[in-house]
Amino acid sequence: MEENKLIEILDVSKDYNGHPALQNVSMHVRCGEIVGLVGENGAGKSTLLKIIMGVEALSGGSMLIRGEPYRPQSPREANTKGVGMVFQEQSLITNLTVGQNIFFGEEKYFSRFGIVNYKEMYEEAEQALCAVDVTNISPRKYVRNINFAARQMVEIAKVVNQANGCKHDNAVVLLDEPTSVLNDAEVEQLFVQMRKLAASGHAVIFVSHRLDEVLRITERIYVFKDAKNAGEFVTADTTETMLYNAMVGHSTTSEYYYTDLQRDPAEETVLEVKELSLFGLFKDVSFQLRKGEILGFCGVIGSGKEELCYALCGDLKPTAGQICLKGSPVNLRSPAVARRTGILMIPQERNIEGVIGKLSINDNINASNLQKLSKFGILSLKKLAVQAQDWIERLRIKATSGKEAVEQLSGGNMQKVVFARMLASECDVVLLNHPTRGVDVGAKNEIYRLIREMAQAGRSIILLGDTLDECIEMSNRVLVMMDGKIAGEFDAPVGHKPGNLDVIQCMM
Amino acid sequence: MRQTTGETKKINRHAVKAFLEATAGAWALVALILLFYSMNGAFLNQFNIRNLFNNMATLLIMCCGATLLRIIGSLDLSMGAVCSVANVIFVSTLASLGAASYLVAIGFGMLAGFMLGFLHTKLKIPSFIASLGFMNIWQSVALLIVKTPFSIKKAQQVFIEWGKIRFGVIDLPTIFSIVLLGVFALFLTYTVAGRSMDLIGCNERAARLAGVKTDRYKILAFTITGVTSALCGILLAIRLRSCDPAVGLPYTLLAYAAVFLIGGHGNVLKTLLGVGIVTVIDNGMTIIGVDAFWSRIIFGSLIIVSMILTMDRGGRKAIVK
Repeated sequence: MEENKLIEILDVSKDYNGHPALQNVSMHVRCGEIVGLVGENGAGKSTLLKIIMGVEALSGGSMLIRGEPYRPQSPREANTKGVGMVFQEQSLITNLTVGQNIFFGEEKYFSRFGIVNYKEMYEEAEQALCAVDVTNISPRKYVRNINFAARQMVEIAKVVNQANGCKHDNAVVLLDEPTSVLNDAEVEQLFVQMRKLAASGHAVIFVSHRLDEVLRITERIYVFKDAKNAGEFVTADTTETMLYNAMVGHSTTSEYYYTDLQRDPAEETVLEVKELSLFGLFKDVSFQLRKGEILGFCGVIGSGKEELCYALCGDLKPTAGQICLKGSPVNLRSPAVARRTGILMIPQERNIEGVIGKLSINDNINASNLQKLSKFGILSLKKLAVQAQDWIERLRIKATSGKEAVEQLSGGNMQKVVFARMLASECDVVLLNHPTRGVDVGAKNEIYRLIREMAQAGRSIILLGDTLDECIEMSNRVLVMMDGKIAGEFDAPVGHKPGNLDVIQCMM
Repeated sequence: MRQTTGETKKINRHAVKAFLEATAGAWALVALILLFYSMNGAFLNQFNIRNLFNNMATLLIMCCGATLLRIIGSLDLSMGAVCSVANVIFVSTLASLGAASYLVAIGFGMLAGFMLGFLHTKLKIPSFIASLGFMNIWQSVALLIVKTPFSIKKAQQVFIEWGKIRFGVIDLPTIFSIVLLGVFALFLTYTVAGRSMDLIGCNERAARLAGVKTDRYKILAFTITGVTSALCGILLAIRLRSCDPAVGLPYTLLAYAAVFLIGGHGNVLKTLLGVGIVTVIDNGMTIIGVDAFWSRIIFGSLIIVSMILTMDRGGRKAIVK
């Protein structure tokens, strides 16, 4: 049995700046087996695939392939060891042809004296496509001219070709949510290919949010939760509910989320969104946000909740619909206009969109309300420093002084600086886009308390939680988005929080 | 005991190193002055010192604008051409408009800067490309207005007489340029616009999401740069008492050599030092008799070398967008 294991993952860990993305995960895949990998966003699935592909280095543990130690430094090295992957974000180069993409990086096999023999390359590309039963895509077409489903099939053809071409008999094929852009017929076609791969002795790891698909195609399923391996299931005796339970688990306490501080919102409606749409991203989204309310948005990546958030803060321009603030319609042309009308977002990518790392804490805290602290455009440096110092103390930001550069701070303290900036701006509507992403447990707890205090002070909050638990426990009300539309609404008063299962079922 | 002294020595060495790094530009300037002085004593005579200050004044004014652009991470290649156009507009309207020609020339610079800023921010054209186009447009415009250089007539010299006032070796235009630099320093520290430019330059995306009016302040930076380029053109007309449609040509290169010379985040002190060094090299080479054709090689290399030494190769943060 032992030699049958094609790839083994042993106690693999990975952390990003001290924030664990994977903790002691172990799994294995045998030859000719299709294994499913499921878990919430951020549970560590993609991280594990990236480690197997050599995109990321592991921080602990080891891997074996065909019983030999395996530690790829690059995707290329992984390819030579017979590991290929179809990436979640499409990785084809759109201004090259299908054939050029399939043999990208391997042009030397077709070239004589540095000149590529394209005829030969396209013939082989045609064969590679035929091998996965794709006959309607010409290898001479440019990738930018074919649709997403066709691109996905090209990616698969590319990986299968690599798998067949490597000098080992059995390859490992990783599929990271390959079905998210495919329609039913194309999914069927993909499944046929996956079964063919398995039948010829290759191992397939299949990551998907669609549990019904995972249950149909796989033989075994691993469930990841909070960067850990939360269970291994044999598909034949598994139901969707069992997977849901393992994915969500239960480790939360109401104390952690300060549920006792949750208050019922006032009657007054602050923000009203009417049939807001942004072509291709979300459609006909309507909801009301009341004063002092925390409104949670749930949904998988691609459900449109992120884009909705960016549209509400003025960064993206909706194509249809209306936003009303305190009864009057507003046109949020830019984040600056939104801030002036009273809407501000705490961005998701703290280092890229949140803090201005090279500048001081003072500069960062005051960035959103320079106008308020100035007369005729002239600033009082004293006022700036006093205000910043005030917020540093109130939020207990750990820093030697306000003049310290923000990039020197820890993730949690950086996030507190962003919160201080938002609080200083005195905006009434606050969009929290993953406010606790990548901060440690202690800082998370402080941020939860801060959110509660903001709601008590009468601010209205839209929360895009980092985890489902966070979103449900913190909110007064939860809206679930799926495929760009609001798919469900749950009231979440203290003591009657909706079950995670119900919410997740709405998401998928 | 021995350990402590060892540690203090280490700290001292560290402090000395940090001090030298922070003041490297100033030392380079001193070294260059001594070098040229040792090669030709005339370098530091009264006449040439005055000359140095005058050369510095025009470049410094243009560099005030270039500093803003450096801070927001953009580039304007048309500065020299705008300078030329302002120069010829100023001189050719002096006869009919008198003192108002100052305003016309400055107004032109403002318009040129605004158009570039608008194209760059609203139509999302990289500033490098947009200004490359404008550089050629303005260069032609300058030549269309005035084909060949000519001097300012006696009758109109009353309007430029103030340029002759001097205190010792320092002329009034030099003082004007230093004051302008001071104004820029205050602008960057004490105004909403100046602070916002700093925020934009360090992380434009974060500044935008924090509600900073990024487009408006970027256009403002370009507009101010247009004005400083025009001021440079006017000052050149005053000093040379003539106009020349190609007068601004070498200034773009000199200005960027000066502004990018000292690395890190831009500020006015670094600009002052950079301008000092560039002026000393430019003038010194003439004094020691280096062929003028070498100057572009020197300053072109200077830009490249200073970039190699100081570029932040973090990846995402390209200095020019």
